[in-house]
Amino acid sequence: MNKEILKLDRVSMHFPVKKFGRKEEYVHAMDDISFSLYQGEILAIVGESGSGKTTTANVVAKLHRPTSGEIYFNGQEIYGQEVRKNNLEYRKNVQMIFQDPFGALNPTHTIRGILERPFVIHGLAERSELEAKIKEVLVQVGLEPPEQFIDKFPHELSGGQLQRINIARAISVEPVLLLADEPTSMLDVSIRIIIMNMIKKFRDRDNISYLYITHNLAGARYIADRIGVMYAGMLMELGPADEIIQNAYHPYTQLLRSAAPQPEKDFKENKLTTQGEIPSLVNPPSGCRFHPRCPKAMPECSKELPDMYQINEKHRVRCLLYRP
Amino acid sequence: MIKDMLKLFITNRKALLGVIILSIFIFIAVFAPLIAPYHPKQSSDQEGKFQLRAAPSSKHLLGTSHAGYDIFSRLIYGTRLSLMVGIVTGVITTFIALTLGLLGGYYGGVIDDIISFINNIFLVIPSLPLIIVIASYITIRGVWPIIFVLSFTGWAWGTRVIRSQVLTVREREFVKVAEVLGEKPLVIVFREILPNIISLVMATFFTSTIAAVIGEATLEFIGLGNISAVTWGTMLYWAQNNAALLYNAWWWFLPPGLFIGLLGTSFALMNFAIDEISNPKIRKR
Amino acid sequence: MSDKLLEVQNLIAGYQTKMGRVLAVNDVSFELKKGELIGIAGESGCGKSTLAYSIMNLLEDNGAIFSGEINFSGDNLVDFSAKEIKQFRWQKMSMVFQSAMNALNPVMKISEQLIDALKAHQKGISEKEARKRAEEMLELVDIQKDRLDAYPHQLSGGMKQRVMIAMAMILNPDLVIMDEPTTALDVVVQRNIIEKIEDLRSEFNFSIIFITHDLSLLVEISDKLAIMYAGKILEIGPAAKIYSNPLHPYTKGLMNSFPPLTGEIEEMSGIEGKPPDLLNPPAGCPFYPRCEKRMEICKTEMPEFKELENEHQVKCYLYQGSDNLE
Repeated sequence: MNKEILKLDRVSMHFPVKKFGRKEEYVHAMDDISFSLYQGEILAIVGESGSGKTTTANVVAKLHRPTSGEIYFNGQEIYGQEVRKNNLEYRKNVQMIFQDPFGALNPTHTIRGILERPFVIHGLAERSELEAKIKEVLVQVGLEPPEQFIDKFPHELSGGQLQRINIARAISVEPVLLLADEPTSMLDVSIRIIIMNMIKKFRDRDNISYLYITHNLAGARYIADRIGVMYAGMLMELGPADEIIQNAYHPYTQLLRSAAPQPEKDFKENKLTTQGEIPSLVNPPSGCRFHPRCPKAMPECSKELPDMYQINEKHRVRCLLYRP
Repeated sequence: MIKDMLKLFITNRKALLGVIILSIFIFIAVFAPLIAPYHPKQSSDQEGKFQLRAAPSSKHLLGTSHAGYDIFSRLIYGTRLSLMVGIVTGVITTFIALTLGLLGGYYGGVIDDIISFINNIFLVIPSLPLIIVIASYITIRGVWPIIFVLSFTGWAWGTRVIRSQVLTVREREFVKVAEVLGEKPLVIVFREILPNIISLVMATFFTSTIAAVIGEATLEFIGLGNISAVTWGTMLYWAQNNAALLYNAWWWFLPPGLFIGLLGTSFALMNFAIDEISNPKIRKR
Repeated sequence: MSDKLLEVQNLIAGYQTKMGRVLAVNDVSFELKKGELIGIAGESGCGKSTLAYSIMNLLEDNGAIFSGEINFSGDNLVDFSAKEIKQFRWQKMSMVFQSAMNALNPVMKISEQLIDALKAHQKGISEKEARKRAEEMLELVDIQKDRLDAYPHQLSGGMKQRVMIAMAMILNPDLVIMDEPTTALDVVVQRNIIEKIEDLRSEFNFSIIFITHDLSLLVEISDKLAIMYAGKILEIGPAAKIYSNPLHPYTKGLMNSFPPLTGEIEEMSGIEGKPPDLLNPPAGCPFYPRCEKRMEICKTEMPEFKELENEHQVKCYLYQGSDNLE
């Protein structure tokens, strides 16, 4: 039984919307999110824009403090005393890779200046060892010969190379958990698979756990062990990757599945039956958030917010259709 | 990186002109004793007392003042103080604006509220009347009180602009990355944010310096400076006091005015390179 | 064939920079029939956007068409005067841009923007008629009448893109060029828009040049597919053929970059390396450094198109001189 590395327990994140004079409104970016992540596992969180998937990663990265709910890392509450006393340790154990490879790098620093920081901040190398360590990590992400890259500025490198640098930076502190927020969506198609393979390689070799955020269902299937589907701030379905895709229970998951490009099928066969857009997170729909667009909606769906119901040991769905 | 930025001052033609003009002024200031034919307070030589209020001649290229001083020499020596006051004030003002802008922009919260509040007050009060009021209360007359007054009233605009820019840079992902890596806040401010606002800081410096040069001249002109000091501003003061305009003694008031304008222009020209530093796309192809 | 609408021949276009010419479009040729949809697939920097802008004659500043022909219903667009292009553009040929944010005026209501487009090309039209037509167009793309006077920022991403489509179609052009029209949108919205585009195409029978990096999407909707790399079209043919039998090593590599939703989950390889510098394009095949099947001759000489069967053409020495498919 693998160790539970991360646990989210009914986490909600509401951002206040500044409005003059009127009553306070909130963006319900995350509501009642609960899941666990185990050692060596890649859990993909799939969703469209406004689903709350990026906020989930940001909250685990302690960039925002949740409005309610608890987050446990290695059994300890991340805003509890133990972790607060040694915040640097949390930063060493939990790292993040961002979506925009250019934006995540300070344009005024060289690659050397950028890759030094993790070692210096966490005291992982002496000044004299820095150069060697940086070169080692560059080789690990496939940037060889490292001398060619170490003195360059970000604008001199391509998106794929920069994302490798971002990954190098994240793994140099030897983290336990890596949060990857759409790490390939801004890269060229032919490089995406290479980066995904690299991510898998580090998991296989070092047993790093990943929380992998993406909007691409096929990519999630390729890389993840389990998939969680988010919609309008809530987790709708969670289960083993291939099961979620081939045998989706939640109507939203089914919609995502049928909307994804399938070159092997004829276009005409593949028509969508659902229209409508993602709802506002300031005033989300009552009851189940998907009910206004759901082809299988029942009258109760607009009144009751369903719980997560277990389909089998590993698979749960937030949908009244499966209420036991 | 810095080398690339400095190169831009030379490749951009307008900026290059500005650099040349400034260099000439600095040269004049440094080598004043060698360039000026007379001491600025010299009213006679072996040949006897200088003529008072003389028009330009071969002996006095720009004529003499009411006290017989050679105007050309005063112009040359005046460069020293005018330049010094302008640049020192520019440095102090920029330093204040940078510090307050960084602190307010990065930390936010109460710190930012306080800084912004004070900043807004200084922004709203018209600067010239404020300068005059403060200066008239300062009993010591001299160049340093002027520097003080100008700095005290001139930091507001720069602070506002730098703070805005810091707010923007703060939201960029590499700052979030630094936080997630565990960088300490002060390190983030100086290592991540500062290098990305350098061009704005330079622009603030140039603008503040121009304002200081003109501010100093203004104060001297209305007599709130040290009227016995040799600066371009005091030259204008004496010119005005002796009805130079009325008598069309252009050699008295035109040269200092021109020099003030030229110095200001040199900074304005150098400012053109700043646009290209911060926006690589408009660099000349 | 009289139903040939567009014929691009040996087009060379790009940008004049301080350091020389960047040949973003380096000898491109293809044909498009009436009502046909050709998909142009390629990654960033392959020149597909420059190709689109060249055909529309929208290249600005230091961009220019250096040589070649763009024949539209018999007329060579490259020879047109500025006045002729202005009349031609939008009436016969229009464009849907990638980011509605950049293409829609944020301070004008969408109805005004549509009416403006109408008035610019139909001098005599009255305000009332123009408004009616704008309403019709918006209805055609499923935007309700009550949103006619909305500002762009009040609309969602998908709706803005539909406004762009309405604007592109308002004068009933024969050809619409779409440059990554759905890339910035969510997958469900994307599919809705693609379905709408298909419906409109069936109804009005216009041709489409659809540019995107999403090959799997293109295979679904295109009649014809062209694979673009470093300013050149390396393979072109019927979409189904290219999908079932990709010939060029680059096409194969691209196909091997899209993980499938069904079937075995196998390790995929992608393509290592990056595209060449278009400032100094290599003499031979631009894919040479990244190609697993490369040969000596590929380094020095660019192969010609070899038509293998049924309009499926490929520029690759692997197929020169052989008349059978691999």
